[in-house]
Amino acid sequence: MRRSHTTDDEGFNYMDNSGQEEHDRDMVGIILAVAFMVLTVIFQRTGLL
Amino acid sequence: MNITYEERRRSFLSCLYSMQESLPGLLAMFFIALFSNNLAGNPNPLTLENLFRWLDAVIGPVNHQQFFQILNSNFVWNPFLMGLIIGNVFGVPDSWKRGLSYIHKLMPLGIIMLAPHFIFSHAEKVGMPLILIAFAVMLFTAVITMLLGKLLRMDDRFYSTVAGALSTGDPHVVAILMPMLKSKGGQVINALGSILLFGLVASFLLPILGHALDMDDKAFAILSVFGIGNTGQMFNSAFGFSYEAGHWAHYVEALRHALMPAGFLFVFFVMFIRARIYRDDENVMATKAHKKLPLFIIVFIIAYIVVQFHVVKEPAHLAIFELVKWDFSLAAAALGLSLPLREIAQWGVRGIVLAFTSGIIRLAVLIGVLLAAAHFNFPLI
Repeated sequence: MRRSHTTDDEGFNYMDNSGQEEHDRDMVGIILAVAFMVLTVIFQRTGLL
Repeated sequence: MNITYEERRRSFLSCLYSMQESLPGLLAMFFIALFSNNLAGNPNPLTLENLFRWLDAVIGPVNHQQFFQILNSNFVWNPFLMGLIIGNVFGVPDSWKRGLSYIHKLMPLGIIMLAPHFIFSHAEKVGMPLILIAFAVMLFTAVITMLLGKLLRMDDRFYSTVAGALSTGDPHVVAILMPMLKSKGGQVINALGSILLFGLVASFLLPILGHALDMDDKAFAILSVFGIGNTGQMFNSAFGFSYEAGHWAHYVEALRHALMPAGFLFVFFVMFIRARIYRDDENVMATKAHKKLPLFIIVFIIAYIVVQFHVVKEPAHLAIFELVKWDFSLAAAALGLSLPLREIAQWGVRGIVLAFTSGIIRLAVLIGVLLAAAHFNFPLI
């Protein structure tokens, strides 16, 4: 059988996104997005950008 | 033996995995992005973007546009294409897969950071009549596409993806809608290809129709922007009609940008409410995996409202948009790697049928409105 593009030999499918893992991934994305935007605005307002 | 995520979880940061597990996949995404786009801080001249620009120079301008812009080459398309070729020719090593799963962090990250890109006041200059017409046409297109998709018995994740991207006039909305609707990768790329094909055909034929109907430059610019969209394709159409129409298309394009979030949020909320109503219907799949309204969508909406008060001024907006380009380039590389060609082909030609049918209906309605406005001397701009 042809090897799957997304699933490894442990059964981890990198395109699957559900349950607690999805919640945690969303949380990381949200924290980074808010941090990047807030930092960029602060840098601009303080003349660093 | 496969250990479940819940068993290995210590905190929400467990989804980052260990450095050893995630580094190979992250490097794969990084190098695909590095060789795809001229991203901020990337000193590499050997990018796919530069290759396309060189080819554009060889081909020469088409209706004052670069040919690969008419094909919609951009920071999503290029790394996706490179990932797709690498994945299909060489396969994807298992050691990359933990790192490639970062696509699910990059998607909400990129969507939220897009908020400063959609400033409504940029569109105020075109005036309220055109704002209302463009808004109505966008919602009409979304509704008619979803209804036609249902009529064609298509998977609801597929037709709602087409509906969001076609109605907003930006095919890359498919990437935004992917985590929102829980669409499959093959559906997303099939929808993207279908909309780009419709735009490509329409952008060359519409100027002929415009001249046959004796439309004026302003009306034709509106028709190109809101009847086709897809940036390079709408400019190809407008400049193909006349140089003046091309300039008016640049003038009204800001409105298409400003309305975009309303379009994809409308499609998401229609499908989200539908999935709550038809909870037990196994044919209803779009958004069903969301137990409740996803937090990243709430954060995006809050950010979208906040930025309307000009909190993010230039050059902060530009800096954030450069991060968005990095983000979507990395994510598109992972998406390209994930897709065997057969997964794109398995969704068939219904996406093309849907994009063309809805697109033609939208054009017919817009032409009717524009001709009526011309007949009654109603100034749209």
